Amino acid sequence: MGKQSRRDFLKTSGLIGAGLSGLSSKKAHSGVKKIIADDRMGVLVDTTLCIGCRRCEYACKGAHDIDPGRIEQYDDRSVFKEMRRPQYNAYTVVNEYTDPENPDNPSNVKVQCMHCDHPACLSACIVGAFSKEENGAVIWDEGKCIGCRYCMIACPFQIPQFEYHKALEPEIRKCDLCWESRTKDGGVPACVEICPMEALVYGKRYELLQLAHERIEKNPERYLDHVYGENEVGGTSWLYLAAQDFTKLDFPQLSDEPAPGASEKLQHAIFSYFIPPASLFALLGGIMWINRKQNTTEEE
Amino acid sequence: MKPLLIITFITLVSASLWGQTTKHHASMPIKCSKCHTCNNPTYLDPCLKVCPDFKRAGVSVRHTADEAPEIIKIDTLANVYQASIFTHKLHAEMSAMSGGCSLCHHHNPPGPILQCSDCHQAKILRDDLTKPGLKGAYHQQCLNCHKSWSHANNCEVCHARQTDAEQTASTADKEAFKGKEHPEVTEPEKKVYQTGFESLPVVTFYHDDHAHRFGYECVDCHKNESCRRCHDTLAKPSEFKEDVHEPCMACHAEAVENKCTVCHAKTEQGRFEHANVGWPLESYHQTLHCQSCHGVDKTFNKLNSNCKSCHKDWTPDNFNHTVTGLRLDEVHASFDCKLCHENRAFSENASCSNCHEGYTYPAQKPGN
Repeated sequence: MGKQSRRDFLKTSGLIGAGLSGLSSKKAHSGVKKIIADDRMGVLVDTTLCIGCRRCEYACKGAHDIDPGRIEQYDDRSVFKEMRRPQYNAYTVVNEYTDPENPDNPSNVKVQCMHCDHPACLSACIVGAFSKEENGAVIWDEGKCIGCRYCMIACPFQIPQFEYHKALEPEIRKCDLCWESRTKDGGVPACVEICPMEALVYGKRYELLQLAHERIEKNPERYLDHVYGENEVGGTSWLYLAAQDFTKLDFPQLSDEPAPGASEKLQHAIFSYFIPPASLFALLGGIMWINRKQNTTEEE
Repeated sequence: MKPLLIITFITLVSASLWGQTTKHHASMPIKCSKCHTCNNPTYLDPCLKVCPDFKRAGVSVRHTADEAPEIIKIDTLANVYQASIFTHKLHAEMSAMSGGCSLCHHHNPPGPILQCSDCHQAKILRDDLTKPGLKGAYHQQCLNCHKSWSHANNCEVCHARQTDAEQTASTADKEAFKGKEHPEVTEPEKKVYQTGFESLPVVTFYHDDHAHRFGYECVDCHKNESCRRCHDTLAKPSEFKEDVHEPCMACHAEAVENKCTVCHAKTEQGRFEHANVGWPLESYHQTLHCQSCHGVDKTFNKLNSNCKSCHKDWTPDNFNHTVTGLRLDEVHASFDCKLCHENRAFSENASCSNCHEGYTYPAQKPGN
């Protein structure tokens, strides 16, 4: 990802800033490549099928050059005693939740980046390091990242992590949908490939939605009639099916509006097509011109 | 003659086209690719898929668990882990009260029972997301029950790691199941429940009547019995949390709503007796199953006591009095019915007083 060095970035942004500061509204969108591509990909997670074997955690580390340790270590179910969150060295984690109505069937929930259709991290990133690829992956350019951590604050799912332990060149870390190593070339994410239960299904997002609704329709007793991620924050690439209320599984309750919606609209409106700043300058210019005219008449 | 021929021809052609457009299954609201593998299926080469994934009746071949394979060694995918030994027959017996063969052989087309691998490919084909690959299919099928039953999700429960020298231990264990059978499930005669309903706390449930007299199959009520209803490896007493009336609702819905006394009483109740509803069953009727008269939907609604309401084909001419348990002698057989059965009320005792003074039925009988 580090094709562009920070120095390059500062140089280009300085030039652009000096010359075309008014066009910044367009630039904010430049990282999004066809976000509404109909055949963008996604992953459907069936939390009723997941058994908490954590093989996805193992495979994920392997696919991202993180030492995964021995596979037997992942059989240790004592980790479920506390809720875990993704870390700089673990882009995905599985948690377990007991279902009070069905104590024999706990729900296992895999957590990772949801790969939003309208990513708040992308919108918040002041250096344009983030991009949304055509297959739905939300990735970022480590070379551009200046470590401001705005993405961490913007993310409605609190996914991006920061290498706080590194004094030099700490980086943002999160799930990249295996973009670089696999999905860019049509491959399948490592976690999906290893899942022995096929609780994770990788496919076109619209097909996954069909599949999810079909499962709910066929097993109304098994599933809550809600596909999490279908509409949340304007839609996400990762979709979830569950047996119990999503808020009980620590999913944030979010509106259907894209997370960057209000702030982005406001910001972009100020600069849209450079018309508001240009008209402001025109207005000020006009006032100045009138004042000057008055001044000259007074002098006469 | 010629115009007539032309008209006939046109009629025939349009009729055949009409037949095609209305009856041909191509017009059904399903994608051709659900069942066909090629784009242009023909009558001679329909290129049918083995297992189209839409709802079917399930397994059409009925056979007992004895005829099913006893042990199945699942080794098609063995690489990291060793083959898994699946005690097929035991599972088939155990599934009797939770969906039977169709529980696992779910979308079996009509005909012979297919193996998992006949439909689920070892390599996951991403063109049909609704159908899991073979590994997913196996694991989903097994762990759906094992997850809640044994609470053991670790891989080694079913298969040992390839590198593990002691692998054969678990395999050998399973081999020991050969020849073992699930003991027959015993059924209670009756169950007396003490409920929380204060004024009428006792519910007497005659299990044998429901199972044998009323013609219910075990699975009519025991739809989703899991293994842990009887065995729980954690030996944790489970409480009934579901609605206690639910199993009774199919037949006793009205009673549950309005008439508690159908089931609830202060003390233990006796069996259902047909005489109590005003129609004591005698001779032939006594030998019948409830459904023979009340129909197979098991609602057991009140029937008309008029003979003709069930015996629709009976007429005075073809009626053979012997079926009632009384064979009329020649003289009486020639009489009109209403001579003895006043007002043709056949459910009441016949009267002899029209001819024989002082005679009563059944003290005196017009035959044997």
